[in-house]
Amino acid sequence: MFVVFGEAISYHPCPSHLRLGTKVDGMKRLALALTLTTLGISSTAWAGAVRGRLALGNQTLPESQQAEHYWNAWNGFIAAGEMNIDITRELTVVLRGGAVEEPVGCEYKMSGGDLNSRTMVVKTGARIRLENGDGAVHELAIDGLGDEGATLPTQPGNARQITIPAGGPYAITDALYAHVQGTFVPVDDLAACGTVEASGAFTLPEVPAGDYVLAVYRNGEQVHEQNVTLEAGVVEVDRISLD
Amino acid sequence: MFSRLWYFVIAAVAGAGLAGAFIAQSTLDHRSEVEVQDSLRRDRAELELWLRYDARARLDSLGPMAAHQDVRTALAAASGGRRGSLDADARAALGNTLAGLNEQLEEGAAQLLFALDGQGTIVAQLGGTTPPVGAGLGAFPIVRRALNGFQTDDVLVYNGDVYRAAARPVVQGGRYVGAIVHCSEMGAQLAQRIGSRLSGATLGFFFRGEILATHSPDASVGRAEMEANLGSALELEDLQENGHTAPVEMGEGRMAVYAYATGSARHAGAGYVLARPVPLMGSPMALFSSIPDSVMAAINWPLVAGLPLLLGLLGLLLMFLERDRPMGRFRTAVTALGEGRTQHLEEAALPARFRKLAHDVNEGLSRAGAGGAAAPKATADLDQILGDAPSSSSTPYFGFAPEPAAAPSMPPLDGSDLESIAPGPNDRPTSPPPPGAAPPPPPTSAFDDDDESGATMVAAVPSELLAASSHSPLDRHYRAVYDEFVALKKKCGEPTSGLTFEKLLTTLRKNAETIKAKHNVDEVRFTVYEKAGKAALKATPVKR
Repeated sequence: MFVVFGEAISYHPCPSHLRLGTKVDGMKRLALALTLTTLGISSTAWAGAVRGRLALGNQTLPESQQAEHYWNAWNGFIAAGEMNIDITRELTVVLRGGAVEEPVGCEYKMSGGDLNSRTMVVKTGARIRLENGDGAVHELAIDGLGDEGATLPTQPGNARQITIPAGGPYAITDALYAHVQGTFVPVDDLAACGTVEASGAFTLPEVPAGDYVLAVYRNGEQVHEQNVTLEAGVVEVDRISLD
Repeated sequence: MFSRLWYFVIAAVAGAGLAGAFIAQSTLDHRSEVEVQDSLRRDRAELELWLRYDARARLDSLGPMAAHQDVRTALAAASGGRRGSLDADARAALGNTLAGLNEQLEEGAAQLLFALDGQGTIVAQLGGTTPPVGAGLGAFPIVRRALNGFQTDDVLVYNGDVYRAAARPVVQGGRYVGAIVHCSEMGAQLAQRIGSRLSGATLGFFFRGEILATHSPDASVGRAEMEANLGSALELEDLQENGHTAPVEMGEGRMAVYAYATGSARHAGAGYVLARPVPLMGSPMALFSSIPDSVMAAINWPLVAGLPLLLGLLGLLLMFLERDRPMGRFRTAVTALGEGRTQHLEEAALPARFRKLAHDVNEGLSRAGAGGAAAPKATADLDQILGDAPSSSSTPYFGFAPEPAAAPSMPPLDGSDLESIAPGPNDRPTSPPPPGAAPPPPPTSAFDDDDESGATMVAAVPSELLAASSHSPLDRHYRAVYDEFVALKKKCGEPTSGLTFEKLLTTLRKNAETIKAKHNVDEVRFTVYEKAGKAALKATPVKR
């Protein structure tokens, strides 16, 4: 937190969110400054969110994800949309490094009939809770985890808990739905996981200031990384092209 | 020979008939299998067409629902917000609207119906369990296609049930605001509706190792039978690679084709099976029970029944001619011999196959007669024919000498009944017994041919007999002998009643055969002479 005498400017987030918008006399200011300085020294410094935009060249949905059918006729009224991949699920943006003990924002679930992220970056050894937010049963299986990864049905509203060890990546599939395909990628220094919009814009949650590696994953592999130094304020990164 | 050949012909025909029956049965069974395989292939093609037609029909039936103003308005409102902002009342109203529209579909009503917003989030749902708030189907392939503006279908698994799904986009304000997904369960109703269009085939839907529903037109293939064979069928390589199998055997007397559903549920192991019974003969006898009446009527029965009957009769005739009749003649001759009407078997009168037997029998009789067992009977017979035999100092016998046949005269008679011309190596001398010696026993036969009684020689045939030869010399000879013998007996005052030519002839022939066999000559001649005041006969072998 940074404090400017005379006019304190709050800078969120802050464990103790202080906002000073009024002038005070000299003695009170001094007392207040001393107090705030003490408090500031004793608290952790948090950086702002990291934002950016991902650009994916070929977004055509692969045939392996297109099922057979008898009919697929254009309705004839409005131009048909493109059968593109869902970037929100296809790309995963994370921050690695720093001194974060518990990764921030790394919550994975079943929603809309699929994994909300095909590449699930998790901290090595972490116990993952994979919730079924759909109305249908999913029968997930994770390769390479032995009995813990065996095919198990997860009812709507329930969650499956899995411990992801070192090694991997570990493929996850659904015995009922071929389009459900994902990968667990264990990372030792995982700090935070972000969200990706359909437009390609991504946002990483606030983490303690420091030096990090911003990494982008797709289909269980890291496809981009760059170093970022997070201090104060929102960090905007350059457009990341993933051709 | 022909009857033996006939046995072989009969056996060959029987074997050929039996082989033909088995071949016909196997050929018909194989043809049945091929026909059933072809039928199953056609069944599968037809089923796919019906499923495609069914999908099209449901897509068309969704048109009014997707175009309904209330539906469009509600989904547009739901798609307007970030995660679909539609309050509970609006959702309920939408649900009621959809229920009413679904009911209008009657037989085509959905068991599971979804109204989805532009992101695929469930706004309203008919049937099934209540989904969690915010649940959606946006990632399902059918929903993605519908949200992109396509009328499409799929087969998917939802909470353990298999559904045939149809989806249409909902358009409002020039943009896609959502989709309607119509799900019809792959169960008994669908099986009956489509299976009834496949004549003679049994249709079953399966999901993993379980049969969901079946329809059989005549219960020819049961559900339990399908389920029992499903496990092994799911492991077939064809099914895994191509999504369907060729017609394969299913249990006993059944064939089936298996296929995965065309849609997402193939990944989950949902599909269908078509089965038909294979009509097999089982045995050649079943050929007769399966012949149509028209075919039976077209058979040329006079030929089919008459020819074998004719050939059978021919076989019987050949057997009679070759076996029964000759056997009868031999039996008659043996019976006559046994009854004493004949003294020996007339070999020349018997069929060729029995002549050796007759000869052996005659030989046996001759030996038996020489051993004395049959002698009294022969002597009695001869005495009856020729009268009492005169006493003689020597045993009469037949024999011949090693001198050439051109010996001019017959041996003189000196009181012996019959004498040899010249002594043979084993012959006994023909001199009369010394005085005082016991008289020799009475002759046992006027035609005794014992070589040991004296030497013999072949005498020349009297010229007067040869001169009297005509067309049948032997018969004329026997007749002449008979006449001369009867005349001499009368001259000697002997009775001749009961002496017939046939009786004498039988005796002459018998003795002639014996002498010929014994002395290896071709002919025997008889002469009549007076001996001690009585008529007697003398046999002379003739070697030409």
